[in-house]
Amino acid sequence: MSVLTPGTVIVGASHAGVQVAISLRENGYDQPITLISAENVLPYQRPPLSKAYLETDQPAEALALKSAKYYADQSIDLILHHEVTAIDRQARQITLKDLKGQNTVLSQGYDHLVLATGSHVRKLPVQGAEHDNIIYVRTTEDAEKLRLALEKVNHVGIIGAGFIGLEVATTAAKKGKKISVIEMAGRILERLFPVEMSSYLYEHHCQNGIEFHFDTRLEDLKINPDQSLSLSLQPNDQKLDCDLLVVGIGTVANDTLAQNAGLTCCNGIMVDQTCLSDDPHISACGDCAVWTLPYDIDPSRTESVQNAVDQAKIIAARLCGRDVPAQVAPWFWSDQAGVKIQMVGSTLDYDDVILRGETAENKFSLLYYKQNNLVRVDSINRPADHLAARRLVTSRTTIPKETARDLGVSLKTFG
Amino acid sequence: MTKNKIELNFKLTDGTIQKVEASVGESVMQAAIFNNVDGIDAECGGSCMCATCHIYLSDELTALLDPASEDESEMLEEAAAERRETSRLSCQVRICEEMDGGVIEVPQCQS
Repeated sequence: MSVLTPGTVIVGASHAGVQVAISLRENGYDQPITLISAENVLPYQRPPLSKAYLETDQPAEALALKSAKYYADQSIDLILHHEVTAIDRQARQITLKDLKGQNTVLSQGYDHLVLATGSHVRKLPVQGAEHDNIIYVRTTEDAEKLRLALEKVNHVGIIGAGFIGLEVATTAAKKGKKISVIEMAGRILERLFPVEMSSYLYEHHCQNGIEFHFDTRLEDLKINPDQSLSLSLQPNDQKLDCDLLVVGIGTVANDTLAQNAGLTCCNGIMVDQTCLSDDPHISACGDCAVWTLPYDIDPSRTESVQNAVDQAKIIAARLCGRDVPAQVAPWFWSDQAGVKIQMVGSTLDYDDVILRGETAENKFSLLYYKQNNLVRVDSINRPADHLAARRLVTSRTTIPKETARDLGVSLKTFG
Repeated sequence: MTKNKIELNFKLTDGTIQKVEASVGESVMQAAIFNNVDGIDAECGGSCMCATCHIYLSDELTALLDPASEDESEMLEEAAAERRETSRLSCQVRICEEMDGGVIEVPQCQS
């Protein structure tokens, strides 16, 4: 290893950033790797924060992606609690700020820079949005705060019927809390799910006692002397009181650093199919990256572990001169309303839906077709269908619809 | 006296044994990931969603456990490597004291 090269510098140490470092070493990369995190804890898994983590008493350390020893053994220089404040593309150098109080400024050169800066939660656009009893679920610190709060409160208000809101609602319902979900759209998960799935999940959440207010927005909130919250909702000047408010209204890409460096951004850092930005020395992956998926026209950002990990592997393969893995249909999972939900494909553009299995038994898949090609599969408690569907949706296979309904025929026999 | 740490022996795909210190109560997957055991991908991070943390337990270890749940069993059917009677998803196997010194085989592939 030559000590003269600065090697690869990775900004952001969540699923995407850490995976770039892991995959570089797995591919035999022998130059220095510097992995920079603004957080002051070992990089950790985020998906459990709105799910299992809230139900257990496991310590945050149990969520670590790798042990401290791993980074040392692999010669990955993990720099915690530092923020990257600027990129000098000409000099191939970044500026780092120590967040431990001293705010010491350092600089660090790079041969290749990977931006895995992630995204941040969108805050409520009302006064008081930063109050202690309003929780946004993004970090272990947030989840810990929520876990403690759930022990004390009775009525939980939730803004946003997306994955975060519904996963938290599921856990809170198990703990016997009263739950009111406020959603601007007309149904749950409207942006991400076909109406068939929204309706199915809605029924289950209602059976668990969760109350929904659709087509409703939060106009104002008041903090009462006992620290409970009074919400003003529109339309019809509705009032709602709750002890705790959990907010899951989407995220915004952390692309300011890239924008300031003159990289092309559009709610995220624009990259090609190999995750390369418009600077040949800068890649981006994970929640902060925008690319165009096969069969799509518009570029998009995918917030999922699968996307973060796959994009990271693509970057590592490219930097090591290996064959770059092809893009696959995005897949995702969620635990809510007592069922295991697994999705492949993100499109809502389909012309036919086939039901495989029985909704009443809570064990089925919905197969969505566009011109006889499989474009999306949503599964409830049918993991085998899901695993096969990842391959079938990526290749947009044609499966005869009659056969797709037949539970006697395994989906993996196709494609 | 309760032992909080035990030792597990991972038999890797090249036949070598990697000794790993593991904590009672964590999953075998966590122990493998923390200690960088090659050949356990665990894409979903332990949610029983992906079948990429497949392992083969020794008969002694298998005897200590309840059988796989329906979910886990269905996922194992789809695992990339052959399913054996001792196949488990390591994210679903909680470590207990009695597992000390046990042997766990890593399959040839996960995906």
